[in-house]
Amino acid sequence: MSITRRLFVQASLLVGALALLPKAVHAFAREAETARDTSNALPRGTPRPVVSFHMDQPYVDYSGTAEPYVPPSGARSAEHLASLDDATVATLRL
Amino acid sequence: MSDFSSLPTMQGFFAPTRFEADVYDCEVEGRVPADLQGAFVRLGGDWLYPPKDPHDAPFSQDGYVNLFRFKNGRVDYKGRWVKTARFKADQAAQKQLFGNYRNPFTDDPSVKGLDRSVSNTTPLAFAGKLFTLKEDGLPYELDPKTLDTIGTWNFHGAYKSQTFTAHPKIDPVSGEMITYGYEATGLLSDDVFLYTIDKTGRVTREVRLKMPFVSMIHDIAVTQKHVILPVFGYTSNLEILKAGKVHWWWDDTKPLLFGIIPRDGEAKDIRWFKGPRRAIIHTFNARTEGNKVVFEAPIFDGPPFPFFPPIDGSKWDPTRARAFIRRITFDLKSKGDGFTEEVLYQQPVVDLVRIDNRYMTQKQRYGYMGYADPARPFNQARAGNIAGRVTNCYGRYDFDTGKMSSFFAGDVHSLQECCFVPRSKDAPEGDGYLMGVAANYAEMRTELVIADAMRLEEGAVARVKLPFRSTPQVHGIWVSESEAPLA
Repeated sequence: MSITRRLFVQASLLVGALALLPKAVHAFAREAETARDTSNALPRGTPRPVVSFHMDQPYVDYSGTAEPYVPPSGARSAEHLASLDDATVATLRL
Repeated sequence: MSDFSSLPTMQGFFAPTRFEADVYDCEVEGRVPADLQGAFVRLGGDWLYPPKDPHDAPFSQDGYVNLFRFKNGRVDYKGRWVKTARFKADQAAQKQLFGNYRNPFTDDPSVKGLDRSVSNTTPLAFAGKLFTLKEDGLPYELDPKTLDTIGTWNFHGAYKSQTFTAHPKIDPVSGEMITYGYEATGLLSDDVFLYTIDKTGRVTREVRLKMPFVSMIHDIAVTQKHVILPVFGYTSNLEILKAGKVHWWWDDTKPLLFGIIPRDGEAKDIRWFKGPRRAIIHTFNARTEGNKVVFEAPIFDGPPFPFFPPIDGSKWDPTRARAFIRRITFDLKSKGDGFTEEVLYQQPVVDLVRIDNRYMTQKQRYGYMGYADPARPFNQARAGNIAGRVTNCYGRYDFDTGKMSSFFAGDVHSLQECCFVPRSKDAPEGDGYLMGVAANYAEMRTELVIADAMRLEEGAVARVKLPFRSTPQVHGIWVSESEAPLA
């Protein structure tokens, strides 16, 4: 079978389309998920509440315009022990 | 069942703790002054069970009391729930039965008529007893040795108001307590009952007053001759409560009113003064000077609490939720209903203010409070993105000179209300200690800091370190060994 220029272009387009299919399906699924989220939540244009911080306490700002509170990402109580194996923990003098 | 995972304001450092604790001979950095003999008692709230409504105000938290006992340079810690009728009902049901802040229409029908108070605002030592207070109910008496809850107290049956303020005033000259209850005859009533109670705990005087409208009267001020009641824009009505909302909403159309009544006066003697809208949650003090009454307080231009929103549906404005130290002067000889207002200090402060209580009802020189100093360092990587938004300093404001002296708590810390403790009962005003609890956001624990009140810039003389984060505080007091029988 001889490969004509037209056949080569058609085959290339088909392969390209097949390669992009999973990405397209994923994008479609994400779009559908977003649409579902929106339909369950607030009407379009309604501000999304944000956790902000005032008088040393977090609070929910329903206007969505306040500066968000971002807690520290450091260790939390015994979190640093979580990475140790049982044998190491057993040797610690706690 | 308790599940706080869906409540975004109750995570991390702000998650409920829900345990009772004793720590014997606490870890101390520095040296606890040997002349501190007594107890620092602080009261706030914690959630035994999650709120029924995630929009509920944090003021609905169950009362939780902490006591730091100072004895011979050693400090012991004790933390206990205030076991109110409401706490016991929830505990028995193993769930939250009570609805929104001061709104019985949102309660489970099984608790109809039960005392709703969580008693989570101010500790009080008076007449040899220790109490916890909240303005929507009667005081709860605690055993000062064990912190066990004894029950509500109505001053031998002579206190008739259904409610009792979180801010009674004790006159250091006479030893009397001037106190009151608002919404005194029931939910949304415009009645205020004003009481004088002698130092043995006997009611000696009651005056029944009507307010111009139902409002939050969280604090008052008392002079040697007068009582001053601020009334302002936090208001409520039956429709709001029947709609299932929290109790208070900010009404921008309401003026700031002050009712001034002679301490020996009757209801007909109250005189009302009127001014531009403000919010006054706490007061420093007041005094009568001839025909003038001088009142000093941290005063907000607008509503301070994001969880008690504007009634007109507008956005709560944090820029108006800043308190400035102000002096208001009333001329009792004037025929008008106005007053003069001065802003004494141009930087905002936290409105949880204190004085040396030996000067209550008279002129004081110093006021104490927390404030946020954005120029101080804050380690955002370790403590979150709240630089400039945390109370990192205690200040001593000098009313005579206008100067603020300051104590810096640290670069991962935020301070709760302070308390002044005189060095001795005869020490001059201001000679003593300033103490209060700091949240250490980086290490997830609580520290009680103690500073020399005359040398705040030198830092803490001692830090009492708890190995956990304790419950949030509203108010704290110093209880001397002569005021209540401590362990």
